[in-house]
Amino acid sequence: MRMIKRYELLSCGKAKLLVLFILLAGTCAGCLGQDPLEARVEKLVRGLGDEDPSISCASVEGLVDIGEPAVDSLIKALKDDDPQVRSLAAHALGEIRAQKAAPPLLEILDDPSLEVRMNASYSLGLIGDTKAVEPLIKLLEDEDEKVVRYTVIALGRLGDPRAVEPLAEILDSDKDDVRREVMYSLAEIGDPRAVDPLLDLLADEKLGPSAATILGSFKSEQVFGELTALLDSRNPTTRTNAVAALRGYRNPETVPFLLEMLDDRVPEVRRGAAYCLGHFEPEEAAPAEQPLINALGDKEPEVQEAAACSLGRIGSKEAVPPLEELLQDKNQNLRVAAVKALGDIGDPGAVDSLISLLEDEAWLVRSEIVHSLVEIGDLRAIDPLISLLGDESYRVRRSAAVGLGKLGDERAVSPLLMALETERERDVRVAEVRALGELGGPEAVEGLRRISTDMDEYRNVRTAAEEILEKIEDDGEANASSLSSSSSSL
Amino acid sequence: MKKDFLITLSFAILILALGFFWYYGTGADVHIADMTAPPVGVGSRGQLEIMLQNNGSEPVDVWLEVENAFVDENGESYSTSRMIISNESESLWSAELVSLQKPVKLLPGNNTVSVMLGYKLPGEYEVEVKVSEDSRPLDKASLVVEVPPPELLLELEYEKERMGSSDVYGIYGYLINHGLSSARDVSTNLTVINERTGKTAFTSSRTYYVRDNDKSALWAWSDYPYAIVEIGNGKPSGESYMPVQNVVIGGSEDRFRINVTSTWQDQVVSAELLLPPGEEAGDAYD
Repeated sequence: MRMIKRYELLSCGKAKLLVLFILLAGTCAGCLGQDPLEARVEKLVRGLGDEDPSISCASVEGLVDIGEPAVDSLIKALKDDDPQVRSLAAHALGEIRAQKAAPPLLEILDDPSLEVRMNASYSLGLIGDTKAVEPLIKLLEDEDEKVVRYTVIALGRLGDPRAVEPLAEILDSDKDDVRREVMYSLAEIGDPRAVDPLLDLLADEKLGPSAATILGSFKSEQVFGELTALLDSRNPTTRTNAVAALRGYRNPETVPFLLEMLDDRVPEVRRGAAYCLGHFEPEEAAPAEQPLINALGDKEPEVQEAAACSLGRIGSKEAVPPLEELLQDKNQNLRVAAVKALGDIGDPGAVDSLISLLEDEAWLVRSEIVHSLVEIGDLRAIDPLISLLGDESYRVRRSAAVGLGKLGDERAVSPLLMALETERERDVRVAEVRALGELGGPEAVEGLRRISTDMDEYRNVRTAAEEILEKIEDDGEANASSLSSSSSSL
Repeated sequence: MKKDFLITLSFAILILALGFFWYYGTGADVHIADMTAPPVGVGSRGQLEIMLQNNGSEPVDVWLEVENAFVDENGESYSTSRMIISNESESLWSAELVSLQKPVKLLPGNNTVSVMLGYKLPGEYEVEVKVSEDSRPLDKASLVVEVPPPELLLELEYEKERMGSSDVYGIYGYLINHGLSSARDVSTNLTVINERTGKTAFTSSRTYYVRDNDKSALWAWSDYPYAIVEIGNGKPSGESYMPVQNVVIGGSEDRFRINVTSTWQDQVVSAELLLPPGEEAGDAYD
């Protein structure tokens, strides 16, 4: 009976409508019941294919932000017909570091689109699954330079020694960007088999300096020995880069080798050796002091400059008189190096010679003199620095203001406030305000209050004044509370 | 037939009732308790703080949609559901803002969340916030956000220097903004008119950007003026004044009116100087 009724129900036209209605309602309920996060992911995945790059890139960001819940949809998107979707999905999966995405990413390493191959290989490096090493090594043979470059980076990130030899082979290619990336990846892998190809690169004029930096990071006795041996190379580029590589070792045993290189016939080698000798502790570099002073008389200004720099670094008092002589040199860079070295040495005996050079026509020299006078910290510098607040170059005026703040002499407060009345350049005004903050005192605070409320002032200057006043207030409160706590404990 | 119809109708009503109950009847007890948004400058990042009250005893995940959260330079409005905001990227978005890509977890009691606002045009905008759990609306509320325009003014000043037999006036100027909104692409024209002949001696134009409550110098090179007027009492000095581009050279009988006018949307401000300064002028006036 019931069956018949059901039959009757289904046979009637309205019943068919009812079935349709139920189906429709079910569909709507299904739609309404769809996980909103899933819906958002789908929307963003669709956004990956948008023609507007700001939307497609923002979709990547949104998906990366969602993270793990977006992974399955992104893996699905790796098979999309649109190469842009595949490529960006591969990129997003790498950024999410989705481990389970490694196998599907490996599958698209032979995608016809180079962007897809590029992003897939790069992402495999980010994910860090070593199963990707062999397929990525194979991808080093890709016809596109960008794909190879990203693959090199990925192999460097994976850090697997299996990649060393295939990577080293690419060092012979004629694509400098790829070769440079190979060097960095070899350094990341850190395998000793990378040393020989890198040593060979020291003869390369373009990549030699980078190879030297990388070799300097290996810090093994074997490499050290190889580098010192290369100091006898006939090739001056190799010698120059070998010296640069030794700088990374900071090994006192290097000093005698470098001293020998100070007599090299090629100026670049002498300059490198002179510069390198400044990177040791003063006691370690003691044997180098006199040879470096001698190098101040080198016929090449670049060598003299490097020697001055190193003498400053090792704080050689003996070097002060010859450096003072260099202050009169015609070469501006050399004068700057001498000024800087005298500041680093910090001998008050050099203050007068530095002050006498403040009329130098080059702003760089004048500005460097200010730094050196502040380094030495002698109060004889106050008046000359106050005069420099009216210098024609804003850089010198800015340095002078900074210097006056550092020297901390309250005599500078009024001149700084006066300078603020006429100074037009924003950066100089900020420096003057900060200097007032360093010096403090009622006059400075009053001036800072005025500036902090002046709505016609540059915002940076006003903000600097506000911050300083806040700090002064906080310090005052801290002092007051420490005073009250100490008096109560008494 | 009538009976069948009644059965069908009952079924339909039942399904509709169930759907209505599902849609509106079983949502979490979450309400918007308060919303605040300080005035936002044009082109600045604004922030809308929403206090959401979860009256239930369990944490609940809700979705937020904010309409009129963004208005572009063409006046087109965007809701956050169409904007893609990530709170974990380090560049533009700050970590204190909630991501609208994911549900926001509300603990029992009051919860404060902040979302980003941004407007490219000044005005007043009604921002509507909708809170839903999955697809069920729980509450909505709106708030008017004020976006004031920039308040621009121009200031000119000069410095006189003697060079040989010439008087050289270096002109300096500032575009000042006292408003809360920054002003981009402020078109600024310099016009120099020879008062003696009534003819325009020089014009130039450049656009400036001035931040809110800030000022921008009109000159392009540090330590060099915005414009130079040389009044020769004999032979001109022959100085090129590089890198200054705005240079006018006249004789002792000439007098120049220097006018600078800046325009941003419908806002126009100007300042003038007369050089050499006479009895009637000498200082800048707006």
